[in-house]
Amino acid sequence: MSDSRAAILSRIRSGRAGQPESPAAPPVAPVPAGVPKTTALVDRFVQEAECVGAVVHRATRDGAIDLVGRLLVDAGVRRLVSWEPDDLPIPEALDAAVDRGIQLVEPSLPDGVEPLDRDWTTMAAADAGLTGAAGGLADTGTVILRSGLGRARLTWLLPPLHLVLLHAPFIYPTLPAFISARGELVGRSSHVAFVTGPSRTADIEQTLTIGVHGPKVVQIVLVERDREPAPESVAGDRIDG
Amino acid sequence: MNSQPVSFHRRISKALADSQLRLALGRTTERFTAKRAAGLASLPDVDAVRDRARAIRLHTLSRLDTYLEQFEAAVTAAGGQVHWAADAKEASAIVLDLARAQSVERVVKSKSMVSEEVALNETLIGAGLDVVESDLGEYIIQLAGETPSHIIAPAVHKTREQVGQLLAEKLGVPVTDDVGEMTATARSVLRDVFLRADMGVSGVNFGVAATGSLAIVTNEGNASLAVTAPRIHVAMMGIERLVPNLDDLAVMLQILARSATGQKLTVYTDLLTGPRRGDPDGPEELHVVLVDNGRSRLVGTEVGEILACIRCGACLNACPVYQQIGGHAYGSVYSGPVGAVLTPSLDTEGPWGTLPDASSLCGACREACPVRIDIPRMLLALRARSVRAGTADRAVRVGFRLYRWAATRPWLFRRAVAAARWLTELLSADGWLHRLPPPLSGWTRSRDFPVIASRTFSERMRDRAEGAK
Ligand code: SF4
Repeated sequence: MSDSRAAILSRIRSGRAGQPESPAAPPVAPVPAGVPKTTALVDRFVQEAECVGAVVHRATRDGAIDLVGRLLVDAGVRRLVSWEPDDLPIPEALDAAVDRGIQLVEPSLPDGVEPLDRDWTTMAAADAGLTGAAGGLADTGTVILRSGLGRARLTWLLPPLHLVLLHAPFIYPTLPAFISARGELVGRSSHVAFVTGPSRTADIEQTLTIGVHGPKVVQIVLVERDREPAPESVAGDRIDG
Repeated sequence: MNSQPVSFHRRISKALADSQLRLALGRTTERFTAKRAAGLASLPDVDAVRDRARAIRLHTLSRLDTYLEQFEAAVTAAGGQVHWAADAKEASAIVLDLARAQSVERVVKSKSMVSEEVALNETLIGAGLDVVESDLGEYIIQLAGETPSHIIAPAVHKTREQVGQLLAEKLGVPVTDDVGEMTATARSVLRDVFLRADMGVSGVNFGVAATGSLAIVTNEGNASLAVTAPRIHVAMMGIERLVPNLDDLAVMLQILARSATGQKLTVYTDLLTGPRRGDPDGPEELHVVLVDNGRSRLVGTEVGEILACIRCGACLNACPVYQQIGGHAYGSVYSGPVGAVLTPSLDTEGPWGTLPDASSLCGACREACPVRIDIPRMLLALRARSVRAGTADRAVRVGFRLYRWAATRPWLFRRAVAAARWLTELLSADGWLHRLPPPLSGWTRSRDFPVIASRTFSERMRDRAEGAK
């Protein structure tokens, strides 16, 4: 095996030999012209996320605590799998949901299980997964999720509904902007996922179909610190009916 | 790479006669092309981004050895293991050995062109493992016992009616032509596969040399599940698929989805750095298999630029030849313009001498390519190479030698043209010849030949010169 390593590298080196020496680093990005104001960023995020089929609910911090439970109940969720409360941008939201009668199944997977005895069935039976985003991308409507101690990855992958909390100030204009500001997160978590809308496929005749392997529905609760609770923005009309 | 015994011409004729195939291709390539244009247009300053993406790829290739070593060190530091495979056989053997050492019985795969290239499934299934493809398109063709016909839409050659029939036959569900129902069936069957698999095998879209991260993108989320639920993740990647750092990765990701499907970003864009570290889920082991299989030989050659390819599939959809014959007629894992360059370059022993001929050199591929790879230039280089090597068609070689002999002797050339004019006028009723006798029949098999013009170019130039006096 190490023979192959040596052979491959030496073939590349002899191919390079005749070529002009290249600069040591790749070209650097042109500096982006001005960062848009936060309100414009948030509006753009909402627009793009809805464009790719996510549902966005804008709320204040207090409004969001209650909203999470209401959205879950409204979607008919009975069993919920969630990240640990401290890993959610609003830890109280989980208790509030449980108070509404939502049953919490294994917030995370049992630690110390033997590899062969892994059993995801409880998790796979959940109706919804609750997570918190490490960031958002305005130009694509993306939420960014990172694995970690209390943050199981299957939470955003297995259940048919994924509900994710996102702090508005965490929204970055573009993917390159996020990477240049928060790139170190990538090394710190073994899985960083950029999720843009619900799971979809177009493998049969390019016909768009939603929810093939991952969630069919992605709901984003966008928490804006100083947002006045405007009636239409809390989506109350979509819930209590 | 699996070679097909049937001749290229026979495969083309078969493809052209298949009305279902042409229906499916027509519906799809058109949609892809329109969406790609819109996707790229949504990127401010798209030309600058494409230039930068190209520069990043070419830069990486120019120091590929250094970046590979850096990547290996970073993957190892993150707790993963790197394996080097010189050829297809070694690549498959590495994965099989890993599976055996860990008593793996069930393998779930997410789409990977490299694993197709090294025929991994044959090896694993031959050794008694249960291997299931999880990308919907790949799953469909695995059920049908076929091979992919498009880089990013492997089942593009099938109509919905054919897929409905297939699922009914293989899974015992009712026949339907409702795509939503078919998708739901696949979801429930594959859910079980993900959760029970011991090993997940994925491809890699980009490896990041600085951090050892792997970028893997899917719209379905099948790769995310395949690299999360099983206890072992094996990532297969070609040695050329690196970028130096995360900033470069961001540029490439911005352009990949737009070129492939017209989306701004693929639904699930996963960056994986090492196995789980105290996380409640994720793989306990991460193995990266670096596959050479002919790539290192191309560095610094006239076809070295093809290593910059990011496998977006845009050149396939743009190609007028692909649009007519589809992927299978090429007979190789990689089809379309990129395949016509890559296949004969990677597998120099294979029967691919005529593959670079499957192009009108119209340049649509170069135009569509997000990293501006000059495919037509390389197709010409490969054609020239096959003439030099004597593997080009005999009639073509002799014909061109005759032509050169005559064309460098003006008196002879003029006489030959006059004779050809007389002969073609005699044989044609409508200004075109539809069938020529051998050895010229090769030309008229797929095109007509015009009657030689009544006055040649040089005759007309002489007339003009005389008129001007
Ligand atoms: S050659 Fe260019 S257009 Fe074709 S698949 Fe590769 S990157 Fe895409």
